[in-house]
Amino acid sequence: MIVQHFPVFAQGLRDRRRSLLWWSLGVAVYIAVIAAMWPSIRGAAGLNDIMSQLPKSILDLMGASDFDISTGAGYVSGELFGFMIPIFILILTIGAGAAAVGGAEERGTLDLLLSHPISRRRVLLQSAALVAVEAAIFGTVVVATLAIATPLADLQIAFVHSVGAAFGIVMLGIAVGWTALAVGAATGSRSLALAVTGSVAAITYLLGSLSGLVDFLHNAKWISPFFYANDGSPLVHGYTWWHALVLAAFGVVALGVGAELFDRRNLSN
Amino acid sequence: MGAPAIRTQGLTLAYRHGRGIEDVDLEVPTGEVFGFLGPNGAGKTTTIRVLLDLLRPTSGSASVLGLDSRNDSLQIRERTGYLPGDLSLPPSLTGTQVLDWLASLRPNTPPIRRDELVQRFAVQLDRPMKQLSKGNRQKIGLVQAFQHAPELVILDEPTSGLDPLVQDEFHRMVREHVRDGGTVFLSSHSLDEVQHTADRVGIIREGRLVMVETVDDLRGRGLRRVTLTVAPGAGDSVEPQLRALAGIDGVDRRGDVFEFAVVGDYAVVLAGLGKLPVIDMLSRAADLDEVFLAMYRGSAK
Repeated sequence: MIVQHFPVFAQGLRDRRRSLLWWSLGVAVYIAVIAAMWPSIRGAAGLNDIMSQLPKSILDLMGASDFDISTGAGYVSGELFGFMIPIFILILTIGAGAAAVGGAEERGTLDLLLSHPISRRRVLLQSAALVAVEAAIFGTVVVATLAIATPLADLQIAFVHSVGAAFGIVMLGIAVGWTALAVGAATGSRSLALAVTGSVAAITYLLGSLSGLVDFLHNAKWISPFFYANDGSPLVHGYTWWHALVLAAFGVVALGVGAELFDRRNLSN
Repeated sequence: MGAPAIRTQGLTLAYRHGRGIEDVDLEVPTGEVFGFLGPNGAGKTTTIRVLLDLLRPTSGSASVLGLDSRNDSLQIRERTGYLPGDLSLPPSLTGTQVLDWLASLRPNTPPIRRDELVQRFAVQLDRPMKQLSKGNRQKIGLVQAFQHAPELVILDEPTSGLDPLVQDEFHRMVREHVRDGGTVFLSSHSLDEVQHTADRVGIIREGRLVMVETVDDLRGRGLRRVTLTVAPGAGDSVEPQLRALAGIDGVDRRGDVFEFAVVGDYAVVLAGLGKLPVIDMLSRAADLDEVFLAMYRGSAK
């Protein structure tokens, strides 16, 4: 059924299943290791005191301003969701997005694909679905691993909060992955898609973490997709659900612009 | 329906690297094998890719199977098979997987001819593309272009990498396809290759279609190659007379042996040769590569 109606999606999933599997396994192991360290970290009570004595500006710079390691949820949130998990998912979805159209054109397989009765828009939409599904699978692995680790390491993370936090991350992955897909489709270059999207992600991340530190960047956090993914420690306090709408809108706009440019241009062979 | 399989009118595409095309008017009726000839970079691939809506013309229009190449591209692609000039196939997929994948992109036209073609070309289906030679990958490319029995097949340099036996089989397949009412449009840089297959050829050069003719006409255009041997030592005196003779071209001399092309009336030329101390004469049909070169020299002047 899927193959028949969504051939590009189906083939993409087949191509990527191996890397998806390893990536999921990697993130699960990483989460497990971090979780396993919690019982000993918690014992070292002095650590939180040290953290609280650090100037706020230093914490901001480290992206750790709301890093509260007095609770398991705060610890996991700071250790994982502040930096590593977003990086993991971005590598996954930027890679998937950039490969889907830009990569196919660079490899020379897009010509053959588009000589078949399938429109450029459908190719792009099915690729977008592939990126979204990869992000969702990643998010599911995160939620599942946390669900298993929470009782074992006594993390005391509410299930609904872990779902919310993972959802924010998944939406971040989709928004940025779709941007990579759009750049690849608009330019026909996988490397350009990787470079442009990677730098945009890095710059907005930096601006976001500097916004609490530098006065004139005070409002910069609003343009950072990372802000909408995990502002205010969703793992501890719950996800601000409307933030997902901002990320969704970002992704949809990027995709729309990409589709328009892709539809108009000459393909290289 | 009566519409030609392919028709372009004033088709122009200003394109990078000078691979554009200019004002190409082309008409290929259904049921014909049309050979599209030109050196690399002349605009063959560009023209083909416009027909499939992979490139958009700057001006002019193209219709394929009576449908507009821009607005009705999906219908055109439904009814067409295509072999790209620079065929890339996913390296990790096996032949079966590649053919299944491409067939899945054509849910309305099942690959009814696949088994027959696979057998015919002895295609290796169980090995991933990266382990296959270029020729074996090209065979997969041919199978996918024909497997759904399309009305029109567009092939860009189809025989590159194929060994001679497979090329023969390919030529048979092309002839069968038109016998059954289909149309084949194939590009090549070698006239020799298409003269056994094509009904007509069009020659494109620097983006312009310089000539369209039937293969028979092209061969029959008084184009004979003659090797003439004159009496020993007579070469020096014969040369100026030969060069002055009307109806011959491209005189080439090695001692007492001359080679030239007869481009005018053969009888007149023979009469002129009769006055020379000829001891041997060999005449044969020029193959199209020579015609091609002559044409090229002609239009370059």
